[in-house]
Amino acid sequence: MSDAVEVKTLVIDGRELSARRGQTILEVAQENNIYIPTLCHLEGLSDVGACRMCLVEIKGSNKLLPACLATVFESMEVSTNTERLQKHRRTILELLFAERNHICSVCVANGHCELQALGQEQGLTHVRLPYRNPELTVDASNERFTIDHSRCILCTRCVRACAEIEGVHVWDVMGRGINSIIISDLHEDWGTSSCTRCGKCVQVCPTGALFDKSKIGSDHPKYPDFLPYLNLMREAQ
Amino acid sequence: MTESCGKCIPCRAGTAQMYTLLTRICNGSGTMEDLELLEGLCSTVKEASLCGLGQTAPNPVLSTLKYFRNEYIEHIVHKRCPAGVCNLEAPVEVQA
Amino acid sequence: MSKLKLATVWLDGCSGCHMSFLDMDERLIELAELVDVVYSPIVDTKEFPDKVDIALVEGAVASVDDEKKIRKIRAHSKLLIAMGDCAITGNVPSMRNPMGPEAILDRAYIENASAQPQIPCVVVPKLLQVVRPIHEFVKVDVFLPGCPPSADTFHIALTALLTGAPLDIPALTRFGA
Repeated sequence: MSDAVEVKTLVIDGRELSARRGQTILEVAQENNIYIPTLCHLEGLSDVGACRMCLVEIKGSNKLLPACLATVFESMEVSTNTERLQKHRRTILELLFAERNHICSVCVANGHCELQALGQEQGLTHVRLPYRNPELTVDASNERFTIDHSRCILCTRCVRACAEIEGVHVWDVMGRGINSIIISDLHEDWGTSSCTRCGKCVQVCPTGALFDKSKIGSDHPKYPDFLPYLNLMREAQ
Repeated sequence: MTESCGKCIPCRAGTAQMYTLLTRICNGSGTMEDLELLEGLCSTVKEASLCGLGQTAPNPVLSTLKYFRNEYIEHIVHKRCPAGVCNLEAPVEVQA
Repeated sequence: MSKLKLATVWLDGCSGCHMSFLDMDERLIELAELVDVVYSPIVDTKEFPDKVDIALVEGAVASVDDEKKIRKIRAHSKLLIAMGDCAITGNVPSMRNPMGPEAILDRAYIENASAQPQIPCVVVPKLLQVVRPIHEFVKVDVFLPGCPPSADTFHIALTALLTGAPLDIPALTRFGA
């Protein structure tokens, strides 16, 4: 009896679905080909609910919940694309574009960038908020890779990939609020840090903040889908 | 703004932008569009932030917008601070 | 029906948007049947005309002169279209914003000057402290992102605007496209 899978039934965007207990709304939606935009979520890494792109509405609650973290409950009714959510998603993208110096046209990730793609998908044609244009550094001390903080959106995928998958935890976040910044080790140069040069952080970075020095122009597609396979193989061992 | 931890975007970047817009309005360079923008931004920071800090940070702005909207408009349209708090004597960019 | 008056303007940009506009090739002839080009870097008019129906503006606002121009354009145009990323986001011209104009002028006219290092102060307009997109100065009606927006984007968007057909810009183009 205790081994039996407990099934919950719920409604997402008018569709009646069933899910296993403990599944997140995002997992159920993805299994059923219902699209919910995400940015900090990446299959194979733990979820932090930081980007707020996957917020959904739950009937009976005024609070918006992140689909990547909220687990399903019996007869919950979820809306994934209401006008209110669209408005918040667009504002969040505007905040990101205005926060640092995102110049798509000269970016190594132009055409392969998740932020750029989300902007287009959510119908963003301009940013109403004033650009902050902070002065940020580029660390090119690593022989293979570069980090350009101007393009970082602080999704912390690199932090999680390094800590959870590679097990080194070179990356972390320093400072707070608008002054937060990604650092290697205890704010040392990337080149002299304890980095193993595995490059996982580069592959999981959604923007052009982390990139491979051997790539030029905008020729930099990223392949973060190795993570679930890697996890699967490790579990099998 | 300085209390924000920086984890979620609405609170991290949203409170900083609220501050920028409020400063603009207070020094007399704000526009009616800024006021509208500020209101929309407050609602996103309030509803989309991860924790209680971001969810409550816009409250002072929202309640002053509710009860003292005319003072905001006074700053924007007549470049005047009815409460005599803001320094609006600095030369103001004049719209052509 | 009289033809609509079209103006195209070049502020702080690379003229790439204008090149892309000209890339419409034979479709420009179609367009010429619907509009008269009354002001543009590619025609001879020196003064922005009084009444313009559609103004296409390329480039960001980077100098006091740009600011004066964009306000005049807005005052004399019915429909103002921000053309390309510089006009919409600041794009490449705005990359100087974190450093400020003095650093840029120093670099260009003092550090790298081989003869008579001096910062030009007459004739050339004074640079603004920060480069900003045009919608921070005036109301913009249509945003056409891209660096540059493709000729197809121009063709579809302008045709839609001239004929009143529905226009879905995010489906056509994006920042950096």
